[in-house]
Amino acid sequence: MSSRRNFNPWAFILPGAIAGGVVLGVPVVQAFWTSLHRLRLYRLHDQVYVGLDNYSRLLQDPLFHLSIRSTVVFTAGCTVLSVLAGLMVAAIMSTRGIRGTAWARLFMAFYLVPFVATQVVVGMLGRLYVWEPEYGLVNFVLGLIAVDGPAWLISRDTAMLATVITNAWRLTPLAILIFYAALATVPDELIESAEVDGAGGLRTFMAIKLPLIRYHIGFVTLIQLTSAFREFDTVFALTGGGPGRATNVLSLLVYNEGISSANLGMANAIAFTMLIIVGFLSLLYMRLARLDKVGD
Amino acid sequence: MQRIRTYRRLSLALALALVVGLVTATFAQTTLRIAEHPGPHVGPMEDYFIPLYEELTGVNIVMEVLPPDQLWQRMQLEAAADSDYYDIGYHSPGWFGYYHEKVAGLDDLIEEHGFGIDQYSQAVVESHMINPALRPGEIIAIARNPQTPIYAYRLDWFEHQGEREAFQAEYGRELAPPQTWEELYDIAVFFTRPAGETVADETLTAPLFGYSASIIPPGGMARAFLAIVYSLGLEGWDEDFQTDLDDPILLEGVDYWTRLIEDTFPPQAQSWNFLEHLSFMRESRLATAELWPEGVLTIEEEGAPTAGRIGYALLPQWPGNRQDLPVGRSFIGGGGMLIFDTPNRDEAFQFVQWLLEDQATEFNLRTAMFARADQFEDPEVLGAYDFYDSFLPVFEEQMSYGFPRQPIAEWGAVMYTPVGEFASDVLFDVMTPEQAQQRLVDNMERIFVESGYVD
Repeated sequence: MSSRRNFNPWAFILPGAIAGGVVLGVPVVQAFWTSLHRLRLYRLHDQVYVGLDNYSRLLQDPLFHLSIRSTVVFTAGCTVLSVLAGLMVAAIMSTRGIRGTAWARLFMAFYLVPFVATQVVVGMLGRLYVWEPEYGLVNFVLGLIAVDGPAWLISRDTAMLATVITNAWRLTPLAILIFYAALATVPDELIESAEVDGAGGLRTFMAIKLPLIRYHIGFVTLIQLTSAFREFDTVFALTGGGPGRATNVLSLLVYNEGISSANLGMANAIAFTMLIIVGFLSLLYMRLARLDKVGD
Repeated sequence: MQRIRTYRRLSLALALALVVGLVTATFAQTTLRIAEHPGPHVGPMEDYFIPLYEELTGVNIVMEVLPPDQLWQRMQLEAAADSDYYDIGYHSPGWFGYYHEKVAGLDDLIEEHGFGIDQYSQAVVESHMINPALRPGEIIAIARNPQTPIYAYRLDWFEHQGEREAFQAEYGRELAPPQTWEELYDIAVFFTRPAGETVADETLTAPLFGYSASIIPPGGMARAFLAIVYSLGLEGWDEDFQTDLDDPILLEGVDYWTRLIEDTFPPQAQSWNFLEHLSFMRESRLATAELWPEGVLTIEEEGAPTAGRIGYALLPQWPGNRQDLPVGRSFIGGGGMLIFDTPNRDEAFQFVQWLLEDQATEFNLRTAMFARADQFEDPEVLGAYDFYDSFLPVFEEQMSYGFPRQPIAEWGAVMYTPVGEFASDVLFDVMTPEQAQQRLVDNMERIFVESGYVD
């Protein structure tokens, strides 16, 4: 009876574990294997083992350092902006008097559009209709208040900002959904007690709601972080990594190395390095979350 | 009752025959899939040639037009996967190395169908129809629009008395098409003006820019900057695969290019793909431009505000260039059509023959693309547009200076992409010109060693 009880969980886990191992493990191993080789797109049958040479050259490459910096700025910007915007919108939408109204439902439905839109479409929309210097929405609005807007995606000073805002706009609906659902679980009695004690809306939010949804915030942060870190489509469609290399995040570097420069070995070395960084960030988050729980 | 049963059986039989017929017809109909480059041929192919061919033959044709960089990448991936997805592809000699193993040799088809290969000049055959290094002894494509860029300018503004006097006063010489790249810069700066100023007595409602090409990196930047590289007298490497890109003159070239872009290009040029800047010229917002000849109808087609107001000139000389070239030059670009080695190879060739040979005159009239001797000699073609009188002599002379790219598989990986990145990295201060040049040279030398061209 005891051995049967021990066997059952593994029987349920095994199919998923095998499927996961095949779907995730094989490409990862293959990517790592390719990263140890010299492999050119125009000579796919000519694979030469070079050991860690690709990694060694990568670490010395100033463009890799530049892409790391761009990726850090992009990832941090998208994560902070989308989490804060998500919290703000979810807090407003879950306020009594607004929560559950037809307007709130309409707004939520409207706000889900960027979440379900194809990333390339988001990028193209941004490029053609939002940030376009002469006819774009942003400069049109700035023009109404007599401000001469810059060429957002073409200037090195503003391209990253515009790219971060566009991608954060795409990521925010997920944050809203999760925070909205989390805030709905906060007992009304707690809020009412705080209000009886004289706490205002902001104080109630900061002192009661926010601590109660901190695991959700951590979860959303991790999701947004990993999503922004490996973002390709939106940036590619919006700026192509430019101007110059101003928005050339790591995923675009992978593409440029692998396809434009035809260097598949190096592209896989970058991709595998990205995997290690994302894995490290995820482990770090889980460790922190565990420590937090122990602290409780 | 019996009659009803008979009708039912008959209806069933008819329905079955219809379904079988439809299914058979669907599967029997040949579908040709074309991977195409953007350009003035796309509209006429979509609206006229493809529907006509489908009507004449029953062959179904699907054309996919992709941005240049995505086009060669897609063709490469399909070829690597051996998918037979594309039957016909756009042929650029510089990209051929990426998928050369999947391209069909055409010699037997040319002989079988009697294609007039003698209509193409030796130079065109060598630059666009053969590749001695990768496919020796074979014809691998049919040229459609071999070309090299020339200089286009607003003739009416250059002839305007007020503009001529102002230019003379400022630069101490006549306002005329530039003889050197530095003169091109001066002219471009002269015409770069903010909104509210005038040009040829007309008040500008939007800023006017002096010169432009479409320079989205890396492909667009490479295509445009290579005109400087080749004008410097550089070729990339010699017959012993020794690079000449380490020459200090390249730094002079990139310094010039950076100044030209920063001082005279519209900022949007950095996000423009092939030929997009010509739409800007058409709107009278650009005074002079690099013109790949296949874009000429954008500024000259009937009804365009710039039609009949454009002058054409050779690319200017770079004094002190390494080969003592009398004029500027770029590579011989443009392209043709190649056939992939798919089960539809024969049908694909017949379509290409029909389009580029049987319809040669009509194709030229609708696209202004030249490749064949009969197009250059046909009175109907030559009389089609007034601007041909000034355009065609320049086009032909510039072609005689064009640089035919070295036919190696690595051309894109050592020249096209890295040169575009080099110019872009210097322009945007990603690295110093010296660092960027070293990177360019290191990349080329490493790949030549990897490929076994040098020890």
